[in-house]
Amino acid sequence: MIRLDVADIQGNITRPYGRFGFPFNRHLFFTVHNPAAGRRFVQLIRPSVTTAEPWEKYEAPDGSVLLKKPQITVNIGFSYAGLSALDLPTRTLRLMPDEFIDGMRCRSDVLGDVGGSDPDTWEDAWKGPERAAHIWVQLNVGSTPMFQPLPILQETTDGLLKAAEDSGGGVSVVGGHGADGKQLWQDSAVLLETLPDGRIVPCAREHFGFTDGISDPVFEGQLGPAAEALAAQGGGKLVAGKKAVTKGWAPLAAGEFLLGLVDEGQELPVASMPARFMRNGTFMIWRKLRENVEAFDANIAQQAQAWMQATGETDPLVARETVKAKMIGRWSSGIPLMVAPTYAAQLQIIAEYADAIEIARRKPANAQEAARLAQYKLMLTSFRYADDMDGAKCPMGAHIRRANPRDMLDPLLGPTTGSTALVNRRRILRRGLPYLDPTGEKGVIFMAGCSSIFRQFEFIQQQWVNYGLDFDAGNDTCPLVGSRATPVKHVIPAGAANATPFIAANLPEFVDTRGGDYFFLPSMTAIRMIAMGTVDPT
Amino acid sequence: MPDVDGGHYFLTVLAPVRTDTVQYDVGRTRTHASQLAQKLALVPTGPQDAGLPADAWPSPFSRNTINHFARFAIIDQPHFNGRIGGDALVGAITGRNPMDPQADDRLTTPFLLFGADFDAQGLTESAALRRYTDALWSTMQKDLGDIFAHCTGFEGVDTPQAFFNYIRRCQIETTMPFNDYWAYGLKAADGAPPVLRLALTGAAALVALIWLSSAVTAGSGFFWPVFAALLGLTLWGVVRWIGRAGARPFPTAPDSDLPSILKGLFLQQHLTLLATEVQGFDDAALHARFGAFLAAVRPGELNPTQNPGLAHSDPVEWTR
Repeated sequence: MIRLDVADIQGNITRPYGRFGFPFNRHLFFTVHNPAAGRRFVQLIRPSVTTAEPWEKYEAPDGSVLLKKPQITVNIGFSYAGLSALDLPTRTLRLMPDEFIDGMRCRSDVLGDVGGSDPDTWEDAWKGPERAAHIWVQLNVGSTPMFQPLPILQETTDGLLKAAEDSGGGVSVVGGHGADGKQLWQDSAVLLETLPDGRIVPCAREHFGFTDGISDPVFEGQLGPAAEALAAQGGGKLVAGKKAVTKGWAPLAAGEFLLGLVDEGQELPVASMPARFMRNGTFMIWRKLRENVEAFDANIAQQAQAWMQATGETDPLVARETVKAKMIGRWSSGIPLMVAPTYAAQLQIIAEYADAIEIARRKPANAQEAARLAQYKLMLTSFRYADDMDGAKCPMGAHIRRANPRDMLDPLLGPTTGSTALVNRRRILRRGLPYLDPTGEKGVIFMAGCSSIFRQFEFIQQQWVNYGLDFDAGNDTCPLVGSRATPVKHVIPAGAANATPFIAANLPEFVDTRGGDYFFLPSMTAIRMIAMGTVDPT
Repeated sequence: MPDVDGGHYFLTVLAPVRTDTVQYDVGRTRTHASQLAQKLALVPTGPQDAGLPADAWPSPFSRNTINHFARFAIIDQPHFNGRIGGDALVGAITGRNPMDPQADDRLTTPFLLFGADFDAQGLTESAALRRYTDALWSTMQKDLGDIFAHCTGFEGVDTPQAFFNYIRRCQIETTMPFNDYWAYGLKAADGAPPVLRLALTGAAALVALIWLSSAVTAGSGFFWPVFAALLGLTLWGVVRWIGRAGARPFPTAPDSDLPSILKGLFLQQHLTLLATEVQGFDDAALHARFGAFLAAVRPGELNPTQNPGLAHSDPVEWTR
């Protein structure tokens, strides 16, 4: 177990805030017109930046906690254009990774941002080649009992806007968010669900109705020893040689998600100079992904009709839920197809874990409840694909199988094969939340952290989400989030839910990109160096 | 003969690029290597990926139906890997001066690399190459002339025979062909190696060698040298035999000629369309539709098929 310098690392790398009692999330972007004013602006924010220091005993390596959970979290990132506008040394700028220098807009061919996702169609905030988003400030707050963000969110927002205004034109906020281009910032928030008993509670779903962010990677040093061992089950990497799938897990190397630390390839991730500037930082992808919920629901209704015709299923609800599950790899409850391949089996699992599902909506009250919750989470994440290589349970092209193929790409796949380096080096931390704009537009603010955008995020996006060769799916893209040059199909092999193979055909594009960029999330040390203008002290 | 493997010919050609200067009327000069690079950059590749328009000019290599892959590259100089290091202690003892420059390899002329793999099923090596050069000459003579005109010794090549001779002159042996059409491997003819038989044969050979050595030397004290010589000779023969067996080309993979592969791609795409369309059909409707499908795509015949050089098949009408 390695001990990370958590006081130097930004907190949004180690924590998905939505799961830590911060359901409301706001993103503000600023343009730096004058390097000195930009540095003053960074210096103003610097003292309030939230680090990865533990708030709870289970997060701490030695169980000791110095900090109380804050009311608001503040994190800061810089695009390449931002680092350049802040007058960083040429040596630091030119040794940055190519894709970070290019920025998301320039990488549209790699990312499949074509057609409806073409950068020329993006929101005003992201439109145009000048890349106005230099500094990204991410705020997260808790909720009032009426499910409104705590007032400190607006106070902090006003403070930031005032600081920009007072900069004498040196720093300006990037407006033009939303379909109407009228928002000064981008909000996102955990969705709420109404329970059968009328209670309204936050839930982990997105607008299509799927439970999101279940298999988030876990890396060395992210949590305290006991919590890490538990979270690694299903979240880490599969270790070869273990028959029981609940045992063969280890946390991923920290260098996959933090610069300056050894990664899964037994080397340091590619980073610029000086080393101290890059160390403990990482890269984060920020993408606004619009979900076309109406088109999705309409298409699923069509597919369900065809499914009933082809399989003889008579219940429209079962048909709809099954087609959806076979596209994503999980039931909308989050239960994986690998555990429950049929709707009936899913209901059985839900009944079996009814107590744990109830605990999951609140904090476990005692150790017994915590253990039960852990058991439930293990069921959700701890599976491998070796015993389903024909896709009878979970289709090869399903969303979760593409995004994290676990053990299935090992050419010598067997019941005790681990996940290969190919897969271990292509994991991403997911930190995004759903959004519902004032215009009514729905979607997800996708945020992914990784030490190499090119090797990790772009590879997943290009080779797995928007191409199907590794999954025997030819040119077909991900049935849920894939980009479409032409409508694609999704093959659902025969299995317990269907006696004959089913082809979900003519799937239109359900998700398109509205904007975004690549950001560097510096360590506290590096933020200080930027603010002082001493990245190169000579 | 690794040039031919698995029923395919893997051709490697290295043609020296001319080192004289290309003169233009207006007083401009260019090297042949730069003009060759420009010509190669202008050879169209067809709409092979999504980034190119659907009506992009097709590659001239798609005008024949025996060529699987073809590529040109210019080799200017071998890559210099830097000085070959050595043990510092050994260097100090032998008095080697680490400041002395080491020789680095240089080419006296750039080379044009032409690599291609094409069908050779049922033909001799020579006949397969001749058929290929003839096919190129009759379909892309102009392009070939423009390209090879920048290479040494191409002057006066104006017949299929002369082009074949030129390719032969510049050909080097392909020592590592990449044959992708035995997709699931090839089952070894005899299955697992007969370990017991090999062990017994080895033991018998050893006994025979000992007997032979002692019979020849007959107590003259030369037993060990003679035995060692005979053993060495035998091992050399065994290695030679294994080497020869390894050099035997793979047999032709079934249906691996280009027309069959194009037909396969065509069928695959149309069968997917059919499978999607007939979901939930009753037996009679399925039968009727499958009949229409067979009549339209004609699986047993070479046409209709996918055109060479394209990534997708054209639609065909399935008459109801």
